[in-house]
Amino acid sequence: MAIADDLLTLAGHLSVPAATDPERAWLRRSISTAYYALFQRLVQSAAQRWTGTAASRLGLERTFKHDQMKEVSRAVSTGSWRGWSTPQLPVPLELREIAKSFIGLQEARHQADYSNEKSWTQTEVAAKLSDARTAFQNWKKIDGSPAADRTCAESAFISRKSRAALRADRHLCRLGVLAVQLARSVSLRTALRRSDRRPSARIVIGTQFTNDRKCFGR
Amino acid sequence: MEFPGEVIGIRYSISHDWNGDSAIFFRVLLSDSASRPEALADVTGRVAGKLFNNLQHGESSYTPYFYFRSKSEQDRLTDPEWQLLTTS
Repeated sequence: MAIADDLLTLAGHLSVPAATDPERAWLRRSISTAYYALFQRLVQSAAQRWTGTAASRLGLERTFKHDQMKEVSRAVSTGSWRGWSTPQLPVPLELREIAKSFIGLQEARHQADYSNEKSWTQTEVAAKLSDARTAFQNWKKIDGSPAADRTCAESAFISRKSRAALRADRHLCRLGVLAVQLARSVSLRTALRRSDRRPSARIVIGTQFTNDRKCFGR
Repeated sequence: MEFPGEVIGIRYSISHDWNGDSAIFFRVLLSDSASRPEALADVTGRVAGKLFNNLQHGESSYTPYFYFRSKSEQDRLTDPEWQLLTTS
């Protein structure tokens, strides 16, 4: 979590440039940094829910897409989010507020990073920064709660597309397991027939694939 | 007046956000006292919450965005997008 907290602190520093600092550049970087602080907080928190290796969690973090997270956040913010969990749990108020902040910060970040027309004032930046800080506080309140585990970390901020892809991967893993079991059975029978009890190289590869299914969280 | 002494005026425009989705951009001009660091989070939270609820956001296809600026900042910048404010 350290990077998210560090980014939020940095955003705070950037929001109050000294008289000798280039104010426009500092304020724009503050907005952008505040957004990425919240982005990192949510992504890392969600990724930590997944079982598997550290490498697989890092891989999962890379699947998060800004636009898809916004889409899900919009549904969460309006209360229309329907997760995949059964039974469904009500979306906590804190999560709805976090989703609102995420949407607002993402749009502000786009403007700060790409628009030279938009002028930022210290009050505008301070308000956005306040949104980010409140979102952090709200996340702290619900982090680890069953509702957060079920509605946020499991799926809420992962896009439908990513979720579908993960589900497809899981099915692929199951098919792989069946294929390996079949291959092992055939191979062992063949090996027994040959009086050779050593498994073939193909089975070793298949077994490795079977172990990798942990990275999909089940 | 919904937020006396805090909100001087609110202006909005309907357009698209950076992702191309329909959006409503609220520009809220705050009094200098309401823009103080110790008051800002509370004021912006209440104002944005009220506008969000009034918009009946769940039934709207427009995503609301909120921007807050102090009166002294606007006086200095004279940003046309923030001029001609409607009294709240």
